[in-house]
Amino acid sequence: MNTLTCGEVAELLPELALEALDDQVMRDQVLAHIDVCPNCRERYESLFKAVLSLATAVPQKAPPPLLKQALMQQVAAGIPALAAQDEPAIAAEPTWQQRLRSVFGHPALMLSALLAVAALAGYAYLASRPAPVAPAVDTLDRLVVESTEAVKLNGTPQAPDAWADLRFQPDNQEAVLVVGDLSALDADKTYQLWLVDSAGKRDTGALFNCGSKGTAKVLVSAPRRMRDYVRFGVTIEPAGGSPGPTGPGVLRSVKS
Amino acid sequence: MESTDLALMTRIRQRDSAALSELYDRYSTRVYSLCMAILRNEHAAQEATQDVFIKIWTHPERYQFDDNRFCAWVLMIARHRSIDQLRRDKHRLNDQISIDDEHFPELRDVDGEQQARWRDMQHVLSSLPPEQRAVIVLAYYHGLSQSEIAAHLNSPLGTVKTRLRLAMEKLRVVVVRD
Repeated sequence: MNTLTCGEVAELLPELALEALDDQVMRDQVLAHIDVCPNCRERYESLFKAVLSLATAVPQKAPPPLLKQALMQQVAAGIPALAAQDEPAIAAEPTWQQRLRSVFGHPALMLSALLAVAALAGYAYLASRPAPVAPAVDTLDRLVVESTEAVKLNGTPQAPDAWADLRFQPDNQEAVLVVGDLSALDADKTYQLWLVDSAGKRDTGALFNCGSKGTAKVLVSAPRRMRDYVRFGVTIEPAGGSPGPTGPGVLRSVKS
Repeated sequence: MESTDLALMTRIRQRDSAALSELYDRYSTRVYSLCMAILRNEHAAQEATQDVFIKIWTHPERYQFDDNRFCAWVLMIARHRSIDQLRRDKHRLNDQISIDDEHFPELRDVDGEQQARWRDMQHVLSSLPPEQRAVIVLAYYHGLSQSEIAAHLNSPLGTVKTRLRLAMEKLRVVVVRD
């Protein structure tokens, strides 16, 4: 039963608009009240607009062009429409609070699903294993989400349009390599990721190939912590990999 | 003629990736800027921005409003996505919360359409007492609940509520006046 007065609701509306109202029961009561009280709803909407103004009251900066390229590649790779199968359909005439809830319901669940789809779309196999076993999708997602460092790799003249993004935590031995615009190789060849330390010693991080779309999302397993490496590169090697680079380089890390 | 947001969303529902491309061109700067303000990390902001547009692509049916609300919808997705990430990085709650003025720098890089509103909002924000501005920053840009804000500022919960209410009322007046 909704027992809040307009005065009590007015005190709680700023917290509600900022999504800083801790008490879920109270939150539901306020939402129920503004759904039937035009005055309080009007006040809430003006507070809501004020909150949205905070979103644009920040310095404006355009994202790097590469970001759009990566997005459109993912879309082209076939991220399917999830068609609301994970949530009930929205009512034909949603109330104000239902609209807000429908927009933002279960964000963590949604993000998880999207990351899983993205990982599947750009997936590459690890050719280095005798019987390649795909890493769990949630492992890749977890590594991406938890990463605190990112290293850009640019294409060499051998593959001028290629790009890659290596994401990791410095103290971990695992990382994720996201690759785009790199040609798929024949079965007798593989891409090999090299991790190079400050003394020039190279370790293999991963063997992989790209799909027909030229993309890959690869689990990198390093013999040492990622913080031990200062340079990264990808070469084309015979299937199974090489102890050292023998083929042409296609990606190399950007010097900082 | 430029397509409306609603028209672009209709095309996205029909799996027209060109419409997503157009929508991205229209809103990516605002989305990325907000993600940057919250996450303070270019890489994380890029990832969040990409996720926002993937969400639009995969769940276009969630947009149920009219044209006027589209920007608000997109920016709220961006904020939620960024705050979710902040909450995953729990250590930030303790170590990296800043309530300085970096969120509200000098006026720059703002187009004419936004400039007047931006200037008004900047004026109000800059005129807020520091303790009121702090609760706004912590609530909006860090996604903290009032209890978390109280704990972070080592202030009574009632004090936080009062500061939040007073600050929001001042911001509301600007919006209503416009």
